[in-house]
Amino acid sequence: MADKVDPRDEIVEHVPALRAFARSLTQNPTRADDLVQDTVVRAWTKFDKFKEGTNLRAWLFTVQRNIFFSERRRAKWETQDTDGIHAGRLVQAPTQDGHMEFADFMDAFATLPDDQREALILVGASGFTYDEAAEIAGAATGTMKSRVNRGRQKLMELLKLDENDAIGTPEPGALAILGQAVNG
Amino acid sequence: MAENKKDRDKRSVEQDQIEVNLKKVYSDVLSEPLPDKLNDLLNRLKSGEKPDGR
Repeated sequence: MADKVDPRDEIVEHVPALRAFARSLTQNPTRADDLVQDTVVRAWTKFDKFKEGTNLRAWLFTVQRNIFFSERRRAKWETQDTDGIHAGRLVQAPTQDGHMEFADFMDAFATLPDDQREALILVGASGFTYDEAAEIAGAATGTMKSRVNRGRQKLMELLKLDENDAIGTPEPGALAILGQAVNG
Repeated sequence: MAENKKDRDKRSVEQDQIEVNLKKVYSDVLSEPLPDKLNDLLNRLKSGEKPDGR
């Protein structure tokens, strides 16, 4: 007689994806792994809440984001860029003319509002449909589309480079976005 | 007109780069080995131990 399979074992398969999502939420590898740990424990112990036949990965992502936002509300984790660290890095001259460096991208990505960063990862990287991503985030599908579009647009603006940037002048639009005056 | 096309092409390249980088943000983490603490947790859960969280 075959051993009875525990349906919760399937959670294990999704742990790498949970880590990737957690990294985008927290922007911090250690916090991300703590968040995944909490998510796995919560999902394991509350597995009766999962509706069999539905998307387990989407459910796990929902559990994870709920833990993240609820903990952050409670502990005021908010990592506002009050010191302008990310902004300061972004206005530095790009290292190569017009080429989007991954480090530049990560800096820009980190400055996006949580909801846009989350939307881009869910739809643009994790492969969820807009409907699935909206359900995970507890938002309307139209809202999710709007977040993705605004996130992409903002990244484009923050990373926009032209020939003049090769001599180290940040584009005025990027400076404006970052709340800095071009001339003092 | 030609300038508009150039702008559109450039925009399209930038959008493509954003898509590529977004996927890289995600896939880089997917390919990392799990840290010991997560492996330990998963092993404990699978062996029927009661999870104690952090």
